[in-house]
Amino acid sequence: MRPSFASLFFIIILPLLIGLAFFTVQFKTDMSAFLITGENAEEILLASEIQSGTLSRRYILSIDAGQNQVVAPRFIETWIAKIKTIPEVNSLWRANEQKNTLKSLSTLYTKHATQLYSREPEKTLAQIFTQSALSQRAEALKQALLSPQASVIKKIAVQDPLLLSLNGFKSFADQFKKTALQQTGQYANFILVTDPSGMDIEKQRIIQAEIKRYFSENTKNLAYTLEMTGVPIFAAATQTMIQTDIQQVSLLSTIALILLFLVLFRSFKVLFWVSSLLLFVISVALLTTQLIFGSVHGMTIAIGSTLIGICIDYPIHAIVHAQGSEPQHRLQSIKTIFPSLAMGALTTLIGYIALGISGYPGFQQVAIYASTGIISSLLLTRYLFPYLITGKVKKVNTFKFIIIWSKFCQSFRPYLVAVVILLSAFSVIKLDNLQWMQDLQQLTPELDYLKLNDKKIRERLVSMEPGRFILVSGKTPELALQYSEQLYPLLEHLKQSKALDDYFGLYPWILSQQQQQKNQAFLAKSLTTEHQIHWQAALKQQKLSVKRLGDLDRYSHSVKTLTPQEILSSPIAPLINNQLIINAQQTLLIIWLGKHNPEALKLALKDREHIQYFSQRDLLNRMAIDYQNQAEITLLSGLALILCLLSWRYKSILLAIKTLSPAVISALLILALWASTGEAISFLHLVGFLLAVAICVDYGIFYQENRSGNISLTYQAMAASMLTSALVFGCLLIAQTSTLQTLAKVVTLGIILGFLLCPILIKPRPFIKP
Amino acid sequence: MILYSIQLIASDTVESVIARMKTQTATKIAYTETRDMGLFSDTWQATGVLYAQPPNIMLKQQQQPTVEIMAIEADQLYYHKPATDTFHQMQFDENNEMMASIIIFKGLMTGDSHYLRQFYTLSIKNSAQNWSLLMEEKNPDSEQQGLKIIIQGMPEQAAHSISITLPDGDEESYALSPPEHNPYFKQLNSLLNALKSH
Repeated sequence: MRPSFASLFFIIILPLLIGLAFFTVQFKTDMSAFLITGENAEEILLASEIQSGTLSRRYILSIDAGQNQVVAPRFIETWIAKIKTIPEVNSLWRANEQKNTLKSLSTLYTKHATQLYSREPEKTLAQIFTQSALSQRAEALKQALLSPQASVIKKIAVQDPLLLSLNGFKSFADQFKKTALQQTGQYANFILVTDPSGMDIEKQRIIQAEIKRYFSENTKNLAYTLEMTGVPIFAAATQTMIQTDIQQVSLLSTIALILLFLVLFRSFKVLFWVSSLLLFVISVALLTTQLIFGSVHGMTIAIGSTLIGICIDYPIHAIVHAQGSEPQHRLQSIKTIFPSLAMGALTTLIGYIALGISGYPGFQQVAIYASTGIISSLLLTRYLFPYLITGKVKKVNTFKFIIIWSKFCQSFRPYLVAVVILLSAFSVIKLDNLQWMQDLQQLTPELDYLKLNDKKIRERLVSMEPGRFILVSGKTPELALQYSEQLYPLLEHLKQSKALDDYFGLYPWILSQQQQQKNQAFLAKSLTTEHQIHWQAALKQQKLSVKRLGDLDRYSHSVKTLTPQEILSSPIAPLINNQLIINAQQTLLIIWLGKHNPEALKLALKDREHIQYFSQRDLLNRMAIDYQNQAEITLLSGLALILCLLSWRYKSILLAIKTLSPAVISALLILALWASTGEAISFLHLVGFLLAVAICVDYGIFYQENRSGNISLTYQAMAASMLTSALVFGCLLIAQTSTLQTLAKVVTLGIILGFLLCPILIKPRPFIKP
Repeated sequence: MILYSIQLIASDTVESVIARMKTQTATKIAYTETRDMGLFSDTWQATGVLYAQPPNIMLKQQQQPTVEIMAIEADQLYYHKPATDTFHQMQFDENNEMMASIIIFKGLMTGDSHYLRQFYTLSIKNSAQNWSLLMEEKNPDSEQQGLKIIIQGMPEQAAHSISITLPDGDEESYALSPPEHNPYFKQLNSLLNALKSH
């Protein structure tokens, strides 16, 4: 291939690839999708619901009028009307909305009074059908007919004079009373549901901006404040953070790399070809990831951007070795060092594959993205790059520090080795003090302000814990309802024993068909003429119309049972659709919990089939431990595999250990540093650790093999690639996302240490001609 | 002609009767309430006192046959019946027909005809003996007859009676004593605080 041909081919293909990547790749930014997964079918379904279902499309909007002030009703009216006009806002209602509930009582529930009056029909009817209880009921009916809710009560009473349909709602009213008591009118809270998913950030941003615009336009003379929370708020904040990070890190690392290149190679042409090669590599990596996963996560790009630091190593080594040779010898120079590059790439691939087999979608993506990038970069360096370096012979700028450090290491090697051994021994002792991060939420401290805001707003609504609930699963809605009904007596018991403040199940909204039929049959059986006589007497005593309210035979008529689907298509659907997730294979039912003792609940629900206590925090923490264990295993397995590979290559386990030693000891020293500073380490530290080891092993291989026969040139090439890698990873320090900062700290420190340890720990073997 | 003009000038208008009851201070009105309801076998009667403190507070203290207190502050409704220790706090629903009397009192006490016109079509009829303000619900439920209210008073005086016909045919009427515009802030606020802190 002639040079012009190679460059022409590359220049034509590159924009096509970039264009293809730009127009076809779908980006995602949902942090939970990157980190969170479920352990079983229920958790996976729930995770998917949280990520894209009804739960993801909800906002809580809270207007604060200020202390001792109330939000004006007229403002609320105007506000609701205006917000409802925002495109793609599906619905908006007051968080303490009762209109729909009351309307549903008189329309939907009255006709199902005989089926939904109780969860324990025997006990309830025994309490209702006594002469004194019927008298009290008649008195209560009279009071209700004279109360502010009389318009609804009248409609119910003509069909259900015993007001059985209200029976189940008594407990609901008590719960509501607790909430209402906390309300002073200072806050007006609303639930807003959007048409697009909460993860559709572009649309959600427009909706959020419109909400804020309407608010500021209508509160010019008012001291009101608006606060919002919900999955779309977290998603938008995360995306903004990741986008900003990607933009800033990319910009900074690009500028830094350009400057470094110009200092090192003094050639814009080289800079152009290396940058083009990297663009090519990134495009291929993006397209492959898109092809395999159907989308590319923002975090994959952010973590994967460190790939530049690794991929650039190969062309840098090629340039350092080839640029110093005559043009006709350049191909041979690159061929000579290629086995070392290939071995280095293979060990790095092992690191990334180990990361990928941890099983979590986010890291699988990173592994595919990075592996594709490494392979493409290696192949391009070997088969295309030699034809692109067409300039005259040029020596790379030497770093004085490198020469001094090499000489220093050669002169004092035995002492330095002793110091390193001592430090390593000290580090091993220190490892006992390592602290593991047990709470995955600590991984995103940058979102703490949103978490606090979320807690503050939710406290203005009801006293339930949003991240903890009981998850009931069944193959059908009917089975899920039956399982939940078996659970209610236990929850009542927990309430009595003060382990649980309150719970919010699907009753009184719905009962299983089985329980509804049982209720209906039991009521028909229990009703006697004597009850009818007592009831009519009680009505007369209260001066109520016997003619219109006295007939109890109506309760003997059989009616069709109420189904969850009917409720989900009624006006009260918004009140329960965050508790009922129905799909073809499975139904999940969520029982929200008030303040409770988690251990008591876990113990009480232990070994109950179809029922589990679900805590988002526990799930995350369990995941943190799983990730940590997994990362430990993958790290050790990766190292063992690399050791085997090097032993096979060098036919000497000792040589393999020596080659690996800079990487392992740098890792050990970093761990000791964390142990001394008390920094809690997470699985992400271990991931960074794995990357640092994978890169440092390359240095060990390059230094050990010294294929050019010129150890000074090899170390210069290593220095150039170390500087670029350290620079790229170091740029991640400016990121707001703490996960990226963690990676930056670990990898940058790791590769600098690994690089410095090479001349101390490895004695380059004499050059063997290939 | 001159006589006719004088008569026109002297006639009560919607705005004038509403403005007449408007108060800047806390006001107290004694009332007798009578209800004729289809689900009752007899007429039901109650007496009590209404308090208003513009712009946002209304309180109805029923004294006979049982003590009951109901108050509206901003968009919250509070209700307490000491005999049965019943207490409710809920969002004040202006579309609830049982709230009609409260809405009317609120509109009259604040002199806010705009507020009343949101819900009702207003028309006035004058005679030598009295004026009658007819209020008809603007958007009644299509299946039912709309809410109808008649407020009456002596010429150039405040209202002395309110009759409400509910969509289902039930009737409520209030006989009102003349408003007392004394400073009832303390009395009203202590009742309201007692109610809210229940």
